[in-house]
Amino acid sequence: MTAFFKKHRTLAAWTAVLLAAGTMNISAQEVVVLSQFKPQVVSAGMKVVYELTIQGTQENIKGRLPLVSGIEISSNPFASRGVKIINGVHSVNITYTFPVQTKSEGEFTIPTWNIEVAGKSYPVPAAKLKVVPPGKELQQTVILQLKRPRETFFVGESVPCLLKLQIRSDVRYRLLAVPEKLGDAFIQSDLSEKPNATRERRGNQEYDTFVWPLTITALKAGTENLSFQVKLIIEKPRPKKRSTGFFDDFFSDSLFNRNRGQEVIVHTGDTPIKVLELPAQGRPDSFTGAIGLLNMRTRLSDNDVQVGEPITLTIEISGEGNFERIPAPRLEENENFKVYPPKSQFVATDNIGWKGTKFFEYILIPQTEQIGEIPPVAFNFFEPNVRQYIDLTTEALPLSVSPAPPETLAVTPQTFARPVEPAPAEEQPAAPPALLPLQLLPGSWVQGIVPAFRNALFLGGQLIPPFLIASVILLRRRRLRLQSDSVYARGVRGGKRVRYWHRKARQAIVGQDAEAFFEAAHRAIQESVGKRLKHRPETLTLSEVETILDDCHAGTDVRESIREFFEAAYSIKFAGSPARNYDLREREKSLVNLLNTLESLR
Amino acid sequence: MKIRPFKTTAGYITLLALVLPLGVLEALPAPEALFSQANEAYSREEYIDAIDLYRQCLAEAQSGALHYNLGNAYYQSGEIGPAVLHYEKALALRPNNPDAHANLHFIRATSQLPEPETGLAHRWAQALPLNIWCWLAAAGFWGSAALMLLPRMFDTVNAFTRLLLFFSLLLMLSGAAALYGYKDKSSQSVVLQSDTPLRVAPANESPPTAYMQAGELAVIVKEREDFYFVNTQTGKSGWVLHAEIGKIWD
Repeated sequence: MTAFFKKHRTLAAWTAVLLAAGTMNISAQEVVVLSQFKPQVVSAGMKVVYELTIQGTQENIKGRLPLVSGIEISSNPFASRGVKIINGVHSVNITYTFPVQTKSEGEFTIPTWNIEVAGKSYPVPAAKLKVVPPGKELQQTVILQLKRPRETFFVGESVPCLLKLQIRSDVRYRLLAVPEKLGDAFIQSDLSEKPNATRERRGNQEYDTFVWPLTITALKAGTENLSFQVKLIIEKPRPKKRSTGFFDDFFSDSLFNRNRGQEVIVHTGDTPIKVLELPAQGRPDSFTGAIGLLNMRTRLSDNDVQVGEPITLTIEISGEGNFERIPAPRLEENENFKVYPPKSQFVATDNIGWKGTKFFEYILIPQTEQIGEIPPVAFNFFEPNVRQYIDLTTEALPLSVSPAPPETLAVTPQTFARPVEPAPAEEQPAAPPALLPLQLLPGSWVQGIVPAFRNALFLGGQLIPPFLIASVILLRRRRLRLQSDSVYARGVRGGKRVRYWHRKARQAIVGQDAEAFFEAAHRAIQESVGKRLKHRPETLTLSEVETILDDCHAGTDVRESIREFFEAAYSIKFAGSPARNYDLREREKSLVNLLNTLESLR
Repeated sequence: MKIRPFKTTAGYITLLALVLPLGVLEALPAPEALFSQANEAYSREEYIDAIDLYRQCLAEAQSGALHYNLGNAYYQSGEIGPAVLHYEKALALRPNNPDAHANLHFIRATSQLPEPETGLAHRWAQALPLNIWCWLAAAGFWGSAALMLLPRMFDTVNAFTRLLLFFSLLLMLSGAAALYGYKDKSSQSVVLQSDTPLRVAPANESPPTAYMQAGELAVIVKEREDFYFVNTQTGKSGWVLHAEIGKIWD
């Protein structure tokens, strides 16, 4: 049991309090009404709370909160009830917390108003809220400073500055964004998302310190205010051993007690800067706005070139200054050169673009060999510390230009100082005085401008001539062989006759003429067997045919088939026997097979 | 001897192969109406409208006169590069078009553009369109082959066939010379904009080695992604974007 109470000491204590409260007559206490803003000083735009506390009762109240212009009080308060026991004397209370949104700077007062508790009316004392310009209430907790090297700038000058944000190291915070500039009298270089972060001591307090280097450029003359602000979330401070006054009150308000972060905006405050016009006295005509402390050097890619050959002139401007506002030095107009617009590149040696080297590359094309040098390049700048213009015009660069073949001049024909050598009259038609008029007839239409040697029709067409030539050659060779080789000629002629009699047989089938069919079949077989013999095939008898087939080792089926065709033909032709009902189409198939077999016997 | 019922299929296919291309040629569109409208717009000095109409015409079919007129319209609207490109296209289709030659020379003279090299072979080639030369060279070659082989087989080698062979060889050599004259023509292009950079590498960030003027000629050597590697008339080489030049031949 003892161990249980040790383990749950808090629970035991609350139980005792409640038991004690239950035995006491709390309704008999005097009612006291209090009200206040927390915190009572706040920067514009921040949220605060208005607390109404009624001591001596926990009854619900009735009443109407007065409206106050300049602040916005929520009509939905939080209610919390409490019990206190001090030296054995207990008390109860109820607290209503109204969220308040501040809008503008100034002092705001909620005047005395009345509430009704348990049927009785009680006055609520007035409460005051002071809304100050952003940043003041956080003066010792969050500090934003702009550090500039001097108080006087020149219009167009880029001045390196530092923006320093310090936050008490015992505060939890979160930066919402990099600082931003207010107003448009100046422009700044971009701020890094990752500033230089260190921890510094101010008096007895340590601060997390962030430093953004940047350049500030004034845009107009006069005294102008420059300020920056930064947004961050401040959270509940880390536990402290003892109070240190105002900021403990600030951070111990109800918002922070609920462990909620609050967005705050911290300002540098207005920094007046005197911006001067650049002095007119001593300003060179060729001044183009460069301000700083600069050097210049020039170099040529080649000192010995031909007419029409491009060379690169590189101008390097280095040092400290407003490089983003330094245009390319203008090369003197010179008919001896074709000059193309330069390419520029800046190589910074710091992270704000204030120190570094800017390169300008010009492509020059000499147009005549009568050039001995690259003309001086004029450049000057204003030095703000000594308040003087400084001239950096270069010396002329030696250049040797030799003549080139005439066609080299074609590189840049538009600005030739020397005209292109005219071609001989017989080779170049004279230019007409004006453009010739339209052609009114369209001419023949085509689908595209494609060379014929890439055209499928042309390429395919190239197969026809060799085919024709080869065909003629083959036909000629065959003809010559027919003339010189009698056996071959007989074979060819026999083949033709076989086809002739076969056609006759097929024609006889159409007319159902059995006599004509068998006569034609008989002749086709004679021609097929005897086409290589010297004597006439139509005189071959069946016995002669069979003798020839014996020499060719023909099968009995072939012999039988031939016999059938011959006997049918003889019986119809010579014996006058009537034509039976032959299936001539079947016979024709047999004839085709027989003729193919006879052909293969050779 | 094999006897087959049908032996004419190959004949039909051959006939179709011969007839089909003729049918395709017959089906080519002839957008004369657009051509006439464009000419009318040009005569009203509405050159932008004329260019638009000529280009609509081009989407359907091309002709030497169409490219010539388009070149005129581009010149009148101040676009030298496209004007030169379309005169060159007109000459590719009809090299003996004297008006196109004259206007091209006029533009080159007034814009101080260099005249391209015109060697003997090139001038010979200009006598006829490239495609005609291709067909003539092919005809000369096959004619020579036939005249060298066939008369011997027919025992007809005589002065007449020798003369024919001579002319065939002449035709073949003329065609070959003309094709040599057209060397690089089929891969030739025209720079469309002034101060077109000739880059060291096929990348936009690449530094230029030189600049070309609108209307200059360049020969395309190779291609990589959005860039062509070109040789200029002056012997310079470099990479240009596809959009910066126009090809004369499709």
